[in-house]
Order: sequence, then C-alpha cells, then structure tokens
Amino acid sequence: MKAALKLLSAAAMVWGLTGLAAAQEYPSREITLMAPYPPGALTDGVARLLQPKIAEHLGGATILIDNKAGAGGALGVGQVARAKPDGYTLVMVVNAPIVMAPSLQASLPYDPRTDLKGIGTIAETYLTLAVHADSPIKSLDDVIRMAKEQPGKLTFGSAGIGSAHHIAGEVLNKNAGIQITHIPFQGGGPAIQNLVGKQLDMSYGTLPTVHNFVESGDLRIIAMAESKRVASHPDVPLINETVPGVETTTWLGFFAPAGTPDDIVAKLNEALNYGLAQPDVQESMARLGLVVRPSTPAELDELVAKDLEFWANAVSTAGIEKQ
Amino acid sequence: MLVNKKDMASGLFFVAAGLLYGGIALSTLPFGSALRMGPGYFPLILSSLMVMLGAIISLRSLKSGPGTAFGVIPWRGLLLILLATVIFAAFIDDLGMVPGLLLTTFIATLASNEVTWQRSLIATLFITIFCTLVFSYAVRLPIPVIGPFFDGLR
Amino acid sequence: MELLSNLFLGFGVAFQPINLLYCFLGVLLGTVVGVLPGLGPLATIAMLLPLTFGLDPTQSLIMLAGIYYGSQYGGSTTAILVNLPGESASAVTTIDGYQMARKGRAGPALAAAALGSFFAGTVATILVAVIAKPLTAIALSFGPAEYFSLMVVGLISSIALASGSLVKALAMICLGLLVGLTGTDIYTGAPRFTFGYFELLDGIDFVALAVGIYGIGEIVRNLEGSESSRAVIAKVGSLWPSKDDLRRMLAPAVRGTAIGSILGVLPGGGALLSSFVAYNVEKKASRNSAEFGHGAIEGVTAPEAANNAGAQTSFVPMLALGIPSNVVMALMIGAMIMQGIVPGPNVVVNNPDLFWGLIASMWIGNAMLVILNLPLIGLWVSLLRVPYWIMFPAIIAFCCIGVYSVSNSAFAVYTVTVAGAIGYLLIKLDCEPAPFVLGFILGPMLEEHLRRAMLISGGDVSIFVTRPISAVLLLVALILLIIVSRPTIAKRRDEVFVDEEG
Repeated sequence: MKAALKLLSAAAMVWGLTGLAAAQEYPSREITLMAPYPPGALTDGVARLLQPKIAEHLGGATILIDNKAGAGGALGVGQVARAKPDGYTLVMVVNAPIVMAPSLQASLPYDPRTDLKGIGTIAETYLTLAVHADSPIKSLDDVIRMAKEQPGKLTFGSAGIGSAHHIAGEVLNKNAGIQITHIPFQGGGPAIQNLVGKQLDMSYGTLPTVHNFVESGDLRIIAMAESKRVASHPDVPLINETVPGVETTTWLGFFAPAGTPDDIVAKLNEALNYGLAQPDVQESMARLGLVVRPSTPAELDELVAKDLEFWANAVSTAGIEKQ
Repeated sequence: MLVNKKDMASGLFFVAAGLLYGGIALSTLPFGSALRMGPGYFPLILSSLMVMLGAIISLRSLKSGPGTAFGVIPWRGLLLILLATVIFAAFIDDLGMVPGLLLTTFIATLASNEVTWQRSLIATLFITIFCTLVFSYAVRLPIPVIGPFFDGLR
Repeated sequence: MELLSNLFLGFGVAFQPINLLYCFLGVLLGTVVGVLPGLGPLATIAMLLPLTFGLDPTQSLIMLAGIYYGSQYGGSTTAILVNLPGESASAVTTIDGYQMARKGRAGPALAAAALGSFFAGTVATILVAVIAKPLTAIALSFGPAEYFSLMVVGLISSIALASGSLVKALAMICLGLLVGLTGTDIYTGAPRFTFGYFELLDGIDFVALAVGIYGIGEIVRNLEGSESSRAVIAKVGSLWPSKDDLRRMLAPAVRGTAIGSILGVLPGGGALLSSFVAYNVEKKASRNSAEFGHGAIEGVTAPEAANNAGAQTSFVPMLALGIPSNVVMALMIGAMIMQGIVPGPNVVVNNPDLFWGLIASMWIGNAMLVILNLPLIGLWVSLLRVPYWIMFPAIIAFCCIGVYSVSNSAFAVYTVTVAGAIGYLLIKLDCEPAPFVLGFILGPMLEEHLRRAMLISGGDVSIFVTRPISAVLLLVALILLIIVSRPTIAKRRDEVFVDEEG
C-alpha cells in the first residue's frame, strides 16, 4: 500500500512539473471546451469543427470537448460560468440559454450579464414560417384571414415551450389579434415531420430544418420571423412587414467565465476568427445551414445585452410565464 | 395470522408512492380539463390508480398465506455499495480519475463479507489501473486523470 | 433491378478493403468497451463517437456502424451474463437470457442473440432496399392519435411481461409511467416531480435508472449469501446451441424480425416498443410458453431479432425525416450530420453512395459481428469465471464511469444510488423490474401524444376512432385486453402465482 502511494505521489509530481515548465504562456495545459448538448448536436458539430483550427492557432494546444447536456444547455453553461476564469474552461452555445432562458426560467444557475464574458460570435441562422406544399395558405395574409374566419381552429408547431418558434407564434397571435393554437414538440425536427405529414396547418422551423423539405417539394416557406430579409432567400417576405414585432434571433457564441483576463480573451477571439475564415469551415457551416458571423468580444457582449432586453420584451408580449 | 409480509409491504409501498405523487400533483400542478389537459391530469389519474392497486395488493396479502421468506438484507454490503456511488458522484470532478476510482473501488470492495486486505488491495489497484488506461488514455474521457483538487501539488 | 443496382452500389462502397478495416475496428472497439458490465450501448457510443469524427464521411459512417453493432452486442452480452441491460431493449433480454446463463447455458444464449440479430439484420436490409419509399409514407401517416393508440397496444401487451403477480405488474407499470413523467411538462413548461433539482428538468436518465435497478440490485442480492453458497452460475455447459436450440430459434427469429421491421418504421417510439412486443407475442405464440421467464431461448431470440430489425428499418424514416428512433440513433444521426449527410427527403437522391453505403455497411457490421463474436463466445462466458471479489467492484466502477460519461454529469450517478436502493427493495418484494421499465419508457410518450391529439382535434375524443389506423390499433388493444383477462388465462396466472408463493 505504502509503495503504491509513493508511486502515485511520484506520478502526480511528474504530472505537476510538466505543467509548471510551460506555465508562462497561455495555453500551457489542456483547454476544456464545453458544448452543452449531446455529441452530434448542432452546437457540438460546430465546436468539433472549430476545435482543430483554434488549437492550431493557439500553437497546438490540446482542446477537449465536454458534452454536458441538460436543461436546454443551461447545465453546461452554468458549469462554465462557475469555473475559474483562467481561459481553460470555455463554452460554445446557441443563444437560447444565454439570452432567452433568463426570461423563461426562474431558477437559472447563472446570470449571463455578470457571469460570462463574450469571446466572439460564431454564426447565425434564421427562423421560417412554413406550410405544406398542398396547403391553401399561400401567404401571411391567408394565415391571418383564415385564422379570423375560424378562431382557434388553425394550429402551429414549435420546437417546444419557450422556443423562439413558440414566442414568435404567440407574438403573432397577439399583434395580429388572432388565435392559432400552439402545438409544442420536443425539438424542431418532430414539428417539421408532423407538418410534412399534414398533422399541422403550419409550423415554425429554422432554415436548415425546413430547407431540405422545400427542395423536395413537400413544404413551402411563406415568411421569415427575422428583422431583415435573409440574403439567401431575398424573395421571402418577413412577418414583420405585415405584422410588426414578430422577429427572432438565432446565433451561436463563444464564451468564457466573467473575469477571464482580456489578453486571453483577445487571443481566443483571434483564434476563433482565424477558424471562421477557413474555407473548409465556411463550407461545413453552410452545409449545417449556418451563416458565419465573426465579431469582436465587445460586439458579442453588446449583442447579449441587446438580445436579453429584446427577448424579455418578446416573452412578456407573448404572455409566457416564467417557470 | 397468515399474512404475506412481502405483498403487504409492497402494497403499502405502492400506496405511499401513489399518495406522494398524487399529493405533489394535486398541490403543485394544474389539473386542467380533458380538452386542455394540465400537467397534473395524467399524474393524478396514474397515482390514484396506483393507490388502488397498492390497496388491492395489501388486502389480498391478508389471506394469501405467509409466502416465501424475506431473506436477509446484507445491510453492510448495500450501504457500502450505495456509499461508493455517492463518493464517486461527489468527488470525481475534483479528485479526477485515479484518486476518485481508488476511493470508490476501495469502498466497494469492502462490501463483500468475505473481504480480506489482500483481495481489497488487489481489486482496487487492478480496477483503477484498468479503468484509467481504458477510459483516460484509450477513450480519452474528459475526466482529468488527477483532478483540480491536487493543483496545489503542482 | 433498381434494388440490385442500389445494393450493388452500397456493397461496392462498403467492400473496399480500407472500409472493411474501419468496420472491423469499429466492431472490435464497440464490443470490447460494450462488454464491460455497466457500459451500455449509449455510453459506449458516446465515448467512441469522437474517434470517428476525423475520418472521411464514408469511413466514419462505416466505423460508426461497426461501433453500433459491437456496442449493441456488448450490451446484450452483459444483459445475459450479469443481468445488466445497457438500454431499454435489452431489459427484455435479461428476463430469459440471464436465466439461461444461470443454468449454464450462457453460450447458447449469446449465440441466439448474435444469430437472431444477424438474421433480422439481413432481412431488414433487403426490406429497406425494396420498399424504402413506402416506409417513409407509413411513418408520415402516423399522427398523434395513431401514436397514442400504438402506445395503448404496447401498454396492454406489457401485462404479459409479468411472470408473477398480475396486480403487482400493473402497479409497477403505473410506477414506471409516473417516474417517467419526471421533468419539464412539454405543454406548459412546468417542472414535474423534480423535487427542486435543476438536473431533473430533462427527466431521469434511463441509463442511470437501469444501472441502479439492475446493476446495484443484482450485486447486493449476490452479496446476500456467502461466496461459496452464491448460486450464480451452474456449470457452464456447451458453448454452442444444440440442434434443438437452433430449431427453436427459427420461428421466434422470423416473428421478431417481422414485428421489429414494422414497428421500426415509426420514428416516434415504435422501435423502442419492438423488443417488448416481440417478447410478449412470443410468450403467447410459443409452444414452450411455460418456460418463459425461466430461460427460454425463444425469449432471447425474438426480442434481439426485433430490436435489430427495428434499428435497421428505422434508418429510412430517420434519414428521410431526421427523427431518430431512440437515443443511440440520435447520436448516430448527429454524427451523420457532422459528416455532411443532412437528413431530409432528398438524402437518397443527393447522396446515393453514402446512403446505400451506410445501409450496406450496417449489414456488413452485423455480419462482422457474428464472425468476430461467435468464436469469442467462450471468452465472454469465461468472464463469469472472474472471481466475484474483483468482478463486483469492477462493475460498480464501470457503472459509475459509464453513467457519468453519458452526459458528463455527476448527478446521474446519484440517480444510480437512489434507483439502486429503491430497486433493490422492490426486487426483494418480488416486484419485477421489466414492467416498470416499459412504463418508464411509455409514460412520457403516451401522455405527449394523448395531449397533442386532444389539442389538434380541439378536444374531440372521436379523433381516436375516426382515423382508420388509430381505430384499428385500438381494436387490437381491445382484443389483447380480452385475451389477457380471459378467465382461463387469469386462472393460469393464479396458479403460477400460488405456485411461486407456495
């Protein structure tokens, strides 16, 4: 037993010494990159796409990806928010747990304003309103007219309670003075599947989820729940153009715990933007349905502050209760 | 009286569990209506059903004969094994793979009532080395080999 | 002819030597990690998945198929040898598989699992190649009403899972349904039965629950006696199934394959039900139904075949609609997306080589598994000879690591502790875990589809009988209910009941 303990402590010391020798320069040991969803989820895909590029730019650092899934990403984000702000625990995440969850969840284990420091924006995507290709609904005007003719009869699918889909749908109900019944699903995929199977009258869906079915002739996009027309779909109108106030944001960001030294944040931002500039990364992002959107750390912090306020308003307009 | 103790106990367990779940559902979850079922609708129906089934099991136990022996409960083994899992959960993030496993496995080995010091040591070391090689080095799980608790040693 | 050219294209891709090598590597790794008791397919795949990310798309998917089959088989192996199911489907395999192992027939049980799966995989591969398109149409015709009615069928047939007291089985199903509801209510966002734990908002982790109930429960039960009196395994008999065994496996394999193939097409939980339904059907249809629960080889073959057939046919709607049939498949689909195969109706048209290559490599993975594992059955069975004083702490360590690594969360390990304590108590009270597990899986789906159907129909209950598929399913459920409660069967149940009590 004693011999074994000696061996172990010796091993621990060797382990420690190798760390000490390189401690002058960041990064001197392995970095844990949190992707707070299961392996293979969109965020995980993006993290694994950027991992080698960021590692390369940081001089061959080791980056381990940690998939701590749960509570819509809030568990993993919470863990990073509480981690030591030394640049060795980072998180890549979609905007929902950062800017939407604070308005929706009563007991969030972090405050995005005070616990997180933005490194840079990664990419964005867009939310569409789609109907089946055989549907008599051709435009948003049709939606509003039919909803007024038979209140409560039409249904719309969403990715779940408190999703951007749900909030957009409820704001549309409110601002247009109509009543379309919300049918929540567990994620955007099942909602779109039910739309293709004609179980729903319409459904919201992110562009990558919907796009394939539009190409195959099963679905039709009638509008976008965005604030600006989407570059790839310039002919698709915005819901905003008919019913003001119905817009959403969907983006991915790269964060460190608040208090991380500025020079480390700057170094990571440089590495991220280096990765985002690579043609193969851009090509893979496009395949995932994402539009690359590099930024400075300050720009991401501003985006978070702006979106927090935006979603708080949208959630209260939609009349969704905090849980 | 010839009471089937196992059935009586399991019946009472189901009644208690049903009352617990039913109570939570009734006090915190809106029932809704058949048209718009609330989050409490399904749980309340299920827990009522469970209380009923539990009651039937208990009542039937009164006349179904003594039943099979309950057998011994290996309290020491049960508690030590549960303790091992708790220790793993509580300390793995801080201790890391090697110290965490040494502790967990050592506690687990003590659960057998035929444990000897030699066996315990051999099993603890063997399992820790095996798991560290497989999970830390071969599969590269994101659990550190030596956790942040030992950072001071560096 | 299109079928042949499709399969030809697929096998052309899959049979390239480098691809065969990756497939072999995948099967080997999947089996070696998956066979460690406590590491089910989910944990195994989650651990090994990142290894495939660096490869090119085709190789990555082929290796993934290998890992998938290897880990599935590894999971069945632990279900049979140490009564530890790694995923919901093998919860059924434990019932008769473990009994076979205790009677010294671990070898034939393992062979039955491998051969049954291989047979099912082969048939389902051909099926997929022949009728890929109509399969997707079936999947789409299932709305919430149909799914609800399907779950009712599953629920009623699950009563047959019980080999002891019927009332206890019903109570266990109820408990499973309730525990399954833990988490955020989909329709209101209200947290239910989370007892204030943030980590429970996504529900209770199935892997942790199964590891607790089966793993901890079994170990503590084994600790009851002294080492020498522990009645674990009879002398290990022949490693190979006898002629008689092979004959008995044939019909269950065919029936299991048929059930799995049909249910696998339904992405909203059909494949999850397939092994349960196959077991129940077999229990009713088999001439040896009295042997079920005591080590019937049919009770291993049928669910393993159904599970595998279901996994194979679920690929079509999964690739066309992007809806995975279970958690393991969800990981697989994620890996595919990363390799540039975005699921969608055009995936067959846009990436024919990948699609058919994948289908073919799934079959090759299955074949390689049989080739690799039949000779190794002796090795796996000899795991049983590892002294128990090393075996049980090792199982505890594997369980902890496996459960932790599914979502890298220590909380899940606490779930093991609680589930272990309660599970052991219930097993002591002669309450079987299988009905509980089925209830746990069905609970959330049953409620989700019921409430969605009511929302869509505007509260009109007649939706369940006016939609033809739903009406037929409910009729099936009714007939099942009548069969289950028929006096003769009830009487036989009582006899079994009295027998066991006596």
